[in-house]
Amino acid sequence: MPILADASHEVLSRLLALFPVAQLKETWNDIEAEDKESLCDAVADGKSAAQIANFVNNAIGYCKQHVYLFKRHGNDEIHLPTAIAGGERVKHTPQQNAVYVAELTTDVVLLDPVEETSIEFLWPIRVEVLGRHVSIRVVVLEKDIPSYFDRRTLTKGHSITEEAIIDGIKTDLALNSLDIHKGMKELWEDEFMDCHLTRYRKTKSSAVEIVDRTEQKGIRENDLALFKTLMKSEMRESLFYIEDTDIGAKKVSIDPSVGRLAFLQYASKAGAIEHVVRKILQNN
Amino acid sequence: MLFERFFKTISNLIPPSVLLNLDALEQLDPERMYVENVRSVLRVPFAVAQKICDLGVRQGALRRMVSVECPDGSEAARAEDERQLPESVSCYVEEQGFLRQMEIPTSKLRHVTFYRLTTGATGAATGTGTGAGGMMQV
Repeated sequence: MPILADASHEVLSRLLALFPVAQLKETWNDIEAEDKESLCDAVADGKSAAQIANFVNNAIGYCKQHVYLFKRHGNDEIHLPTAIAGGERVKHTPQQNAVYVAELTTDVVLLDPVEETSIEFLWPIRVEVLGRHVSIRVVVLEKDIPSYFDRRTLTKGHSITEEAIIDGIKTDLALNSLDIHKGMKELWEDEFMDCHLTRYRKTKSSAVEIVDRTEQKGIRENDLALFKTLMKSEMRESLFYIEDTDIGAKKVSIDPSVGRLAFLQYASKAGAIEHVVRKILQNN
Repeated sequence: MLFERFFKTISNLIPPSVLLNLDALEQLDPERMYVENVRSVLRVPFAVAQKICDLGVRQGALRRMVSVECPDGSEAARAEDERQLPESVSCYVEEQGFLRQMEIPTSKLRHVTFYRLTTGATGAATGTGTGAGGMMQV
C-alpha cells in the first residue's frame, strides 16, 4: 500500500478529518484528545496504515458521499481492480467490494506575495457488487483550501477529478449506466421519502419546483397534481427527505437518469446509505 | 386524429404481456418521449420501455433524437445524431446575481436521448421538429 503507507502525517490527518468525530472517538477510544483536529493528528501519528485502512473500510458509510450506480454487463464473475486512476486498493473482499484511496494533489497560488505550492489529499472510494449492479461511492472532499494556509489563496487545479475516477472504473469493469427513475419513484410513492426540490423536463422547457423551507411536507403531500405529473416525467436532480427516521440518513439528492445519488450530511448509522441504495435497486 | 394514429403505432410496439392503458398513453407527448415517460405510462421495467422505443425506431415509427442540456436544464441543441451537434452551445449562467449568456463546449454538457413520432406515422407535421437528419440549435 505505498500511497497510504507512504503518506505524510498531515495527509493522513486530512484523510481522517473526512470522517465524523463520533466514529473517530469510538474507534480510537484509547486516545485522549481535546478536539477532532488533535484526535486526527494523534491517530495519524500513532496508528499503522493497515489500522487506518481498516477504519476507512468500516466507517466510510458514515461519510458525506456521492454514489454512482451501474448495471453489470452480463453475469460473469467480476474482478475488482487492484488500482484505480490515481489510487490503490487498501481493502477488499474478492468479487464483492473494495476500498480504494486515491491521491489528489491540488495546485495552489498563495497571494501577498505570490508563491506557488500544492497540497495533497487522500480520497476514499468504495466499489461494491450488488447482484446485477455495481455501486461506486466517493467520499465528498471538503476542500476549504484557504483554511490550510495563513494567506489568501487561488486554486489552480487538481491532479485528478471525480469524473476521471468514475470513468476509469466504469471502463475497467465494463459497466453500463443505470436509470433509477423507477426505483426512486416507487420509494417516493410508498412514503419512504418525499421530494422537496426537483428539476424536471416539460415538452419545451425545464421546470424547477422548490418546496418552501418553512413547509414540513414535500410535494407528494402538498401538491398531488404536481406529484402525479412528476410520476410520469423525466426528472433531473431532486432532493428527497427520507421519512423513516430509523434509516440513519436524512436527505438524499438523486439524479435518476444517470443513476447518481448524493448524501451530503453525515449518516448516523454505518449501513444507512447502503440501505437506501439497496431499496432503490430492489424497486427499480 | 393525430393521437389515434399515435396510439396505433405505439400499440403495435407493445409486447402482448403488457396491458395497454389507452388513457395513460394519451399523456405521452408525440414530439418528445423520454424512455422514462414510456416506462411510467406503460408501467413496464425501464429495459422493456427502452426496447419499445428501439423497436419503434427500427420500424420507422419513431425518430431517435439527442439533445444537449445547459446547466439550468434547458435544451440548447438537438439533432438526430451526436455528430450533428454543434461543438459549443449558448447557455444562461448566473454570475454575481445576474444571468449572462455563455458559450459552453457541448462535450461538457449532459446529452439526453428522447424519441419523436415520425411525421409519416402521425400523418401530420409535429410542430417545431427538425427535419430528417437536421439539427436545430436554440
